[in-house]
Amino acid sequence: MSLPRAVYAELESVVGSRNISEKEYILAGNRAQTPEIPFPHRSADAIVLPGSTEQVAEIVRICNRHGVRYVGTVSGGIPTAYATEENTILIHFKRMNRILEINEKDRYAVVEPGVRHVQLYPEVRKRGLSYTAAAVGPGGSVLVNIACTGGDHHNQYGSSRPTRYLLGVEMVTPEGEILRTGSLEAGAGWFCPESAGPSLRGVVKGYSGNAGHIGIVTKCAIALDRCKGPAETRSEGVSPHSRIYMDGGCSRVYVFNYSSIQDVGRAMLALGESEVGATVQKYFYLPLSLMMTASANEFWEKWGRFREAFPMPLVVHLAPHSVRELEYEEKILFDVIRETGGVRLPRDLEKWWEEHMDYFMIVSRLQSVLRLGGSWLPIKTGGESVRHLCDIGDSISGFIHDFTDTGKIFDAPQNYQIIPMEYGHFASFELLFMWDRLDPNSFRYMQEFCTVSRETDLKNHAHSMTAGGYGKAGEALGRLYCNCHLWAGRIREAFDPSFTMDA
Amino acid sequence: MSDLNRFRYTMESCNHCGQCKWILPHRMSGWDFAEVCPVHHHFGFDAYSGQGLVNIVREVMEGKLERTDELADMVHTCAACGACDVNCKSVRDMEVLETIYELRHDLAQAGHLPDSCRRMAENVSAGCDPFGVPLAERFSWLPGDFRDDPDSDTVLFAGCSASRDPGPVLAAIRILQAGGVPFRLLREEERCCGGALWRSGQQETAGDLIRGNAEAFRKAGIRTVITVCGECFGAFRSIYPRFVKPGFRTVHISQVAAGLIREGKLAFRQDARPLTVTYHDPCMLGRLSEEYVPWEGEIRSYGLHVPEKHWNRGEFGVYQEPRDVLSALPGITVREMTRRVEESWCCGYWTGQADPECAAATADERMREARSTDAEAIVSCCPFCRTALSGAGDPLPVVDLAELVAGRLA
Amino acid sequence: MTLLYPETAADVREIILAARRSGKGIVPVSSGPPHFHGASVNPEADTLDLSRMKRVMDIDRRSRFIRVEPGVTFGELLPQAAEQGLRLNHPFLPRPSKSAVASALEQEAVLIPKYQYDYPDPLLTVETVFGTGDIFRTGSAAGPGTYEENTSDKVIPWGPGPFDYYRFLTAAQGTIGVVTWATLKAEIAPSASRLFFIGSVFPELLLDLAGRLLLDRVPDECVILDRNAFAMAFAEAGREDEFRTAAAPWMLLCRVCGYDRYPEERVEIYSGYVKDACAAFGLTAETEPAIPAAPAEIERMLTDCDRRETYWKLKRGAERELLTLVPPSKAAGVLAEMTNSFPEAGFVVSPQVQGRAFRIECDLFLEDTASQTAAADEALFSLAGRLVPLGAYFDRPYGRLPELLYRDPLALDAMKRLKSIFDPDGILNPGKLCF
Repeated sequence: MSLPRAVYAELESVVGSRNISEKEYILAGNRAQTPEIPFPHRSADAIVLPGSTEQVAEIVRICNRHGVRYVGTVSGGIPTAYATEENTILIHFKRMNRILEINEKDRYAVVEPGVRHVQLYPEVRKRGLSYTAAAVGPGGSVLVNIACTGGDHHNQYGSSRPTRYLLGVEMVTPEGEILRTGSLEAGAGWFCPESAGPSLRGVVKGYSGNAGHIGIVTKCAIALDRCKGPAETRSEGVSPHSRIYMDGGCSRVYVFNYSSIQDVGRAMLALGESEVGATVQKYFYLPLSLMMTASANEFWEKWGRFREAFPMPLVVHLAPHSVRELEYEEKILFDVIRETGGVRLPRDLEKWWEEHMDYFMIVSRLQSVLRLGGSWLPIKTGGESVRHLCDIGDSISGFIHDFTDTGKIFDAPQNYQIIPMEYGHFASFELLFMWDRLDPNSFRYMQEFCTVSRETDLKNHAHSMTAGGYGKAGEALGRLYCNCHLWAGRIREAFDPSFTMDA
Repeated sequence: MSDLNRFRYTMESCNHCGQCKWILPHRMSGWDFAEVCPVHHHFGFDAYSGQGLVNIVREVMEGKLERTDELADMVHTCAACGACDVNCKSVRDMEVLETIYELRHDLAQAGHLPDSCRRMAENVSAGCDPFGVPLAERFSWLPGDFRDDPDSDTVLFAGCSASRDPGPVLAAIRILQAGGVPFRLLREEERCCGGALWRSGQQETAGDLIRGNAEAFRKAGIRTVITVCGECFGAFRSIYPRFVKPGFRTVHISQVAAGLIREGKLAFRQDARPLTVTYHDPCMLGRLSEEYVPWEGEIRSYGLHVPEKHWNRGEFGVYQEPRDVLSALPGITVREMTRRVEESWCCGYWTGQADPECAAATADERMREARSTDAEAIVSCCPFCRTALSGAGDPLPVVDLAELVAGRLA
Repeated sequence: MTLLYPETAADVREIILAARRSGKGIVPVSSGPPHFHGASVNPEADTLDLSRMKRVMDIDRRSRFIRVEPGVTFGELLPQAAEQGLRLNHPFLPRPSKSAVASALEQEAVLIPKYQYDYPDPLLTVETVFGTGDIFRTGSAAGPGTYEENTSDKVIPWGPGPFDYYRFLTAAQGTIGVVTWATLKAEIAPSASRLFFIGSVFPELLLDLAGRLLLDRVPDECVILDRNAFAMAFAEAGREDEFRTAAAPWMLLCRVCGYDRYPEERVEIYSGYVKDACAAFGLTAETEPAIPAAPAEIERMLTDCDRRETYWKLKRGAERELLTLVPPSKAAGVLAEMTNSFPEAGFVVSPQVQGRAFRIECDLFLEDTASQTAAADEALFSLAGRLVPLGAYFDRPYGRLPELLYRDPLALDAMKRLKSIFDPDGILNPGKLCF
């Protein structure tokens, strides 16, 4: 199905003929099946490349006038960035890719959706600053990551979740108006996200952003922190054996092995109470094995070794301001590890982590987790207290064996990640597993595993994730979460009465 | 015959992560010069990228997308520079570029390819090189008093571009002579390397040239082929093994020069004009020059390749030797660009076969990057790069490495 | 006007449902007197006084949170937290009758900016009764299941689902819902500490210094006071002039702390950072300044509420204040305009969100006469008008400030849409903000 000529012509008049296409081969570039799902994404009827917020607003107004649905996308790396129904256009933000401001004094950066982590990160680092980029890889959109999809950063222990750093936002509402939030709304600049009154920030970004936030964010400011770790980094080698070295100075990496997640949790909390460390995380070793692997064939040997050598690794990165403080932090670290029963890994194993700290800091090579074919899913991607998440981690061994031992999925009982944030006030969780997409039953197995996992948490009344969705689609979980599906539906209806936004 | 199905695993593996478009973190330097795919940079649509092209191949294979001339033109705007492939392979086991090559092959077999590409094959059939120079004139640029060593097992492969621009080959001759390297020229036995034809999807025509050259080398007892052109170098290394078992090794003149310098066999003038340059890595000398190792086998669960597959990931291209040579030249200062080595930005020459505007934009972008280093000139090792970059708007001088070396010999 | 004293969320729900039936407005208040900002004055509406909702539901040392009902005041809560080795990130010298929940909901300036990652901190989750009468819990407190069933610590603020409901309730002045409990972040009480007094005649130097120290997350408590505020806050009654004379024109109070492990060592190391930063600014960090009070007493007061008989802001009988929020680049300019306008006022400048903003408070200490307070209101309103073009953001627009606050009409419309979802009959705090 194609757009009516008149609609196409209107859109073309906004963006210019070279920035809109309905050619099949252009549409094919954004509708192919991805390995996580056994069916292709629905095709958009056209793709437009706006160059400004005003153009986005005009596009949305045209869509409203003609009842055409739209969905915004940048990298297409998330499953919701595709058309889901007929008569939908894709608004692609490739051309809106400016870093509008890096304000060192006020510690924020303003970006458009097309700016990628691999562009912003070095710019802020040059200024001695940093930000928490969620684990989406270097080509991920900064804005989408922080204002829309959420996600967690490997190094958020000493900072916080990326979405907690969202400041002023400019967005195009579903009615095609340009809305500004926080201090921006009052003409006071980008620095504060909260409105003077009930904060519109709450509709911009919630827990599962892309599944529900209202409108298209066209600019946003993100808060910047001091860059932890060495001021200078050096890189060596040629891909895939290139390295970015982030060692030196007062920056050190330590890895400890544990036999119980509860002990890991105790260590995390004890370190947090002392505010020691830049990174503290219980990492999953499946991605770790992949990160250090140059081909799928090499993976199995590392997977076996790592599982045996450190089934439950606690990774700690100390990056204090001085050598004296490093000694102080080390003293506390070793006390805590001793008290909680951790065992330090041999230096050669520890060095593996140290040489890959760029992975954790700037989330480079993240996509290596896809190396086994790309059929993967992170679940339980919620957050709660360290205590609660350790309990959730403990519960996994109660149901996972039925799937791993029979080969229905590929995972291991301890292969999950817990990353504390705000020095242990709370943490994020992620259970990342894979399945064999060459097996025709694998998708069903994957769904069964997700169901069992969710039912286990619901039985335990564990907050491993939040509810999502509107109305009927969100009812099953929403009614267990204060009927939030109804409230979400009401908000959506109030802001997008014509439901043209394909969210 | 083309067989898109051979690359089904790659097509079904793409998660749209976008790594094929963006510079790898170890080369990142900031907002600017972060893109690696020239066509994506120019057109903006994801279809113009490794990710998009792989999706297109899949739809063609599945019969969802029609083979047309327009599609062929679109596919050929991609310079097949391989940046997407190297970036993808930094994290994945996918053959992005091979999949694109196979689509070109498939389209060509169905009769769809740009006129410019079609003409290359027609020229070859007419007894010319792909660019229309009759074989009889292939060495017309050679000085009449030139004497080579007819007994040498080393050949200096002049390549087609010498007919248009003999400077680099003449410079190579001077370097070899100065270093005391015995070599010979094949003259009337030399044909186009076939690389451009093969990469355009006309693999059968290319195969004829490749087999012809290989046979000529065999008959002449050639053990070493020295190329001056990056394209030829890449073709010998990464394309020839698909057709023949090469009985020769291929080296580029930059590698020969680096070796001679190391051995102290080249002496340079100390009074040469100081010059700040930046080095442009040609795709076919760099990331696409790794030796092709055929693989036939089975891809099992979780991507296990049985038997184990040799992957060309762009790691072992010719990157260091040109830089070593530049460093050894008195008066030369090298300033690196952000996109370098395996992440080099393509000159855009082959884009011009289908879309001259995109080619010009690609060259302009490279020139802008070169200027950002404050260099006075760009040095490269490939005549095609020189042609493309010299055509950029407001270009810096584009200098061939061999000419730069020869010009500074004592 | 009727005073209503609910004791449970169910009571609140019944009151709201009754109000929906009668159409009479409700103004929720939590804190005890004295009241500021006129938040509770609306003769057309009933007052929902939450001060009897006094349960301290949870103080959790391990996961570092406190869950309390809105009637729990700082005066009551701070000692209970201390007993568990915890402390709250509270404002500078709050009155003891101030509701801890209301303080967080109003986004009052916190005293320890390093613990504030996002503006609503230390607010984590809440239970609220919306204007519809529905009881709702935010963040991870939402579920799964009932409050009692949910085994989590209920500390994650975002959600449930795609929206951040708790943000709708902050700074909303009770116009969206009535909060019946809140979970607040708590921090480890230090085992050792050192308070530095860094004086200067140039407030902009201290602003920059505070920003520098917070970039490196060095200080715990961190606040800048002018000598008037310093004297009013810390001097015992009658000795204010003595304090004022002795104090530097501007003073950055900066406390470094050590926690359970090797506390003295941390204090030593972090003291070094303070001194180094001061030296870079040409300033001196003193621990024994020439003021007529023991530093230990100042430190004790700094970490508590004001338990004296007369609240420090009311020593002269009345007080009027203007609060604004500014980014660091605008702070010096806004502060200069304020101090030029009111040289006799007291100024409390609190770095916020890890130093990425400053809350500037201008306190006019007045005799409790109608003429003085009315004139002060007018003068502060006029000042606010002059501050807007200098970059001041009035994120807590009390009193007449909403008249002044530029509102993007679209944002205003969006807020009204929100309000209509959660309070469709407009019964919650009618007439406030833009509703």
